[in-house]
Formats: sequence, structure tokens, C-alpha cells
Amino acid sequence: MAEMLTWRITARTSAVAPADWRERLVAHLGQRPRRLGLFTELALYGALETMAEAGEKVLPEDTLVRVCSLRGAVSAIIQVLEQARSELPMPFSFLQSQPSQTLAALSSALKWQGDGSYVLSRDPLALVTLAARQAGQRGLLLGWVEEEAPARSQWLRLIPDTAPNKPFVPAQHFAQMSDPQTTWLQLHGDGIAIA
Amino acid sequence: MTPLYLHGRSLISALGADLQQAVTALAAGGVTPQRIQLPGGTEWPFFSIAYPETQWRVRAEALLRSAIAQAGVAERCELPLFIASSSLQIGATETEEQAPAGDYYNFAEEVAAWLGWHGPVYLISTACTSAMHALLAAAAHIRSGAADEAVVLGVELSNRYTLAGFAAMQLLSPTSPRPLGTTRDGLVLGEAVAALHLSRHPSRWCLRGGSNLLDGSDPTGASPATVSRLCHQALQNSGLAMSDIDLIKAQAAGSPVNDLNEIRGLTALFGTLPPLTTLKAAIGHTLGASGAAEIALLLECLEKGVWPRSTYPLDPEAGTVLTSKMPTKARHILAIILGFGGGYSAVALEDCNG
Repeated sequence: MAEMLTWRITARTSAVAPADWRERLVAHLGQRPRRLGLFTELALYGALETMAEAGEKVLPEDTLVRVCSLRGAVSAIIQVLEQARSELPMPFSFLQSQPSQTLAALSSALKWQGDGSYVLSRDPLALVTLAARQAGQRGLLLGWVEEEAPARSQWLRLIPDTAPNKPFVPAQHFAQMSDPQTTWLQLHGDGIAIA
Repeated sequence: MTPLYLHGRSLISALGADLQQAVTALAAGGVTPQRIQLPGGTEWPFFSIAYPETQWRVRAEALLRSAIAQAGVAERCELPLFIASSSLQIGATETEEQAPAGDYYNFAEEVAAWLGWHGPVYLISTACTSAMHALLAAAAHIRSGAADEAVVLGVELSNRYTLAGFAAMQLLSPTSPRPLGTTRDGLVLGEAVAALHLSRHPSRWCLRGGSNLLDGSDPTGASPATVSRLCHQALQNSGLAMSDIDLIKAQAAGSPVNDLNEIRGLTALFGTLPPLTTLKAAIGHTLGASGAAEIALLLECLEKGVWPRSTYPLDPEAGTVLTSKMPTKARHILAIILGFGGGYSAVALEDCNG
């Protein structure tokens, strides 16, 4: 029987971004970000914070990056909608409203060129499962980002590993991923199991 | 890698209400884009679907229901559905007075309600590469054993938001799309709804594999080196060699720089290129739907023996590879979509009758 695909959670950020997340982002980047919108800055903060916690400076190229956001870059979208009522929008406003630009910024900041996507489901656990199915034996960097208060940039870094000798239980809800007690993730036929 | 197969497919585009109309229109020389005026007085060509309903949501529902029915999956609502779109429901939102309420996923839920869909629904939005990402996600879903079949639905419908944004970025041609042409001067956007039914069960067209790459070094441009790397990975993941490829469906949207960079990247990898085609002069750049839309149209063209023709002078460096006749052999096809935001996607298809 083939061994179950198993990942170790090597780093995670908490769901709600801390009040000083902008300062932390500047510290990670070594400079103030330029021409990125709020949503992208928040995504970068969480991804870089997670990488730092995992002790990684560069993301391996075979890692899958998945970003999920239900509201996306809503402040930039509202700005572009307003601008577009009377004239052409400002180019940077339009760029900042596009999820693909967040992915591009992540690619640059993580010094990584790989499979990155913006995927949505109402059930965050379904996205973890889909990403795991796509990853196969590769690693994952998964983020849930919402810019509206309370700003959220919750990320998980998962590295493929050999299954530990401990029992796995089916994951019931996404909050279990935030629990520091959850350190392993396994892909089963019917979903994700954790240990 | 487990082979997967494309069964039903559909396309509603400026070329017509179904694939039969599309190839008939192509055989007759294609269609001319309409012109849309934006606030501020600028006017741009746009490949619109000829469906007169003015209420965005009513129109969207009718078009999506038709695309799903044409792909033969209207009664398969239990299957996983992968919706691919760049602009989602912004066409409806922009007509409303108040700020956007709800969230992006409301669009997926709205689509599921229109279609009576009760299988799992995923929404993928990676700009122009959305449908390619959706296709490869659906393939991974099936290969993992989670399902035997899945449906990819590319949706890109009329909205001024995207048109104005691309106009502001100076990415649009003011006249017509001329992919790989000497006088190419930008993209022309278009509408499309396209569905692909992917299955483990054998049929004529096999999805061998593919690859997605994100390169943030130039968020609005294509890098030749990344194009080479993308295609190399896609072929490797598909178990194919460069010499196996009989036809390339390029991105080639009409961009002065990116068209050339794409050809340079392909040439660097392949050396001598196999016959190459582009469909964006026929239906425009349909952004998030383009992967599904162009695969559906290309396969229909190959089955029906109809081939898109360019009617403008071709770039001496980039355009000479564009084939004006259907290739005599097209067993293995590499389909490429490059996207806004540094997205690169390619899939390899095989004609099992070839």
C-alpha cells in the first residue's frame, strides 16, 4: 500500500495580524514596500513572517503557493470603481485591485518562481485539501488574507515528511490548523487528517 | 501520470452561441469586434457575445446554463466544478450605486444556484491563466482519487472595469488584434463562457499534463526564459519530448513586446518550432476564460478542419512561425496562456485518434 502523503507544519502565523504588522513587513523586506496595495502588503507580511518562523529565506521552487481571500483587495476595487465612473482609473489603482498582482509580489518577495494561485471556497479546509491534492510530494505555503478590520493574514508552511508514529484524526474545521498542537497533516481519500 | 480525457466542451464567444457557429464564423473570415465607449470619451474594440439581454446577472445565468448544457454536463451537477474567472461579477457590481457587499465567493454560489449545482465548487482567479489553473486543479483532484470527473467553467463577461483598467495600463489596441503581426499594437479583450468536461474515461482528447509558473519579475510582461522553463516543465509533466509536439497554440495576444518574447522563449527551447497558431484575433483575449475557451475552439477547429487565418502582415521574426494551414499532423499539442501578474501556464493535449 502506498504511503499516505504527509506534511509537517513548520510554521504558522496567527489569524489576526498584529498591530505592528506594517513595521514587521518593513523589517522583513529591508525597506518600505512601494506601490503595493494594502491587500498585497498584508499578504506579504504573513508570508514573510511564516518563512522567517520556518527559518527559510528562499522558498523552494517546487513549493505550491495558494492565497485565499473572500473579499480580496476590496479597498482598491472600490477606488477603481469610483475612478472608472468618470474617467480611466489610475494604473496603479487597477493593478492593486488584481489578485494576480499579489501573487507576482509574493513571487518577488519570496525569491520564488513556481505554481502560485488564488483559489476560493467558502470552506477553508476544502482549500487545504485541494492544495494538498495538487502538491503531491511537494511543499505548500498557504495563506488566508482579508484586509478589512480586523486585518487577517493567516499562513501555514507545510513540508513533506515521513508520517510520524502517532494517530491521525480527520480534520473537522479549519481552526484546528491554527492550534499549535496540530503539527502534522495527511491527505486521505476523503479529506485531510491531522496529528 | 494517469491519463485524463476531455469529453464534452462548449464555447460561447463573439464567434457565436456554440462551437458549430464559431467554426462556421471562422471559416467565413471571423467577426469584427464591436466598439465600446468608456467614461472620459475613449473608445475601444471589444469582442462581445451577441446576446441582447441588458441585465448582467440575467444574461450571465442564460449564458452559463447554455455553456454547461452544450458541454453535456447539465445533469451532472454532483461533479466538482472549477470556475475560472478574472473579473467575476464586477460587471454587475459596477452598475450598483453602493460599495461592493458580500464577497468574491458569492459569485461561485450564485453560479451554482443558477446551474442547480450541488457538487463542490472552487473558484480560481489568477487573471489570464485562471482557466488553465482550474484545468490542472481539476486534473489533480481526479488523479488523487477524489472524483472520476470534473467540470471546468471559464467565465469572462462584459464589464467596463477591466476594459478601463487595461486601457489605463495602455495594453489595448485601439483598432484590432494582430497577434504576431508587424503592426501589432496591443490586445483586444473579449467575452467568453467555456466549459470543459474532464474525465478518467477514455475519449479522443487526452490531457497529458501541464504546468503553472509564477514569475513576479515583470508583472505585466513575458520573459523568454520563463516561457522556455514553463514549456519544459509542462512537457516533462506530460511525459513528452519537444520532438513530440506537432502544434503550439501560443498566447500571442498582439502585444508588441510579449508576442516576440513568447516566440523567443519557445525558439530557445525548441530550436526549430513546430507549426504554431493563435486564436486571439478570432475571439479576443478572454482573460480568465481564455484557457478553456481557446482549448475548446482549437479542438473544434481540428475536428472540423477549419483553421484561423491571419489577414495582416506578419512580423518577420515572430510571425513566420504562424501556420496559415491546418497542420497535417496534430497528435500532440502544447497550449500556452501567459497572464497579467507574471502568470504562465501550459498544458499538453493528445489526439488519441491521431
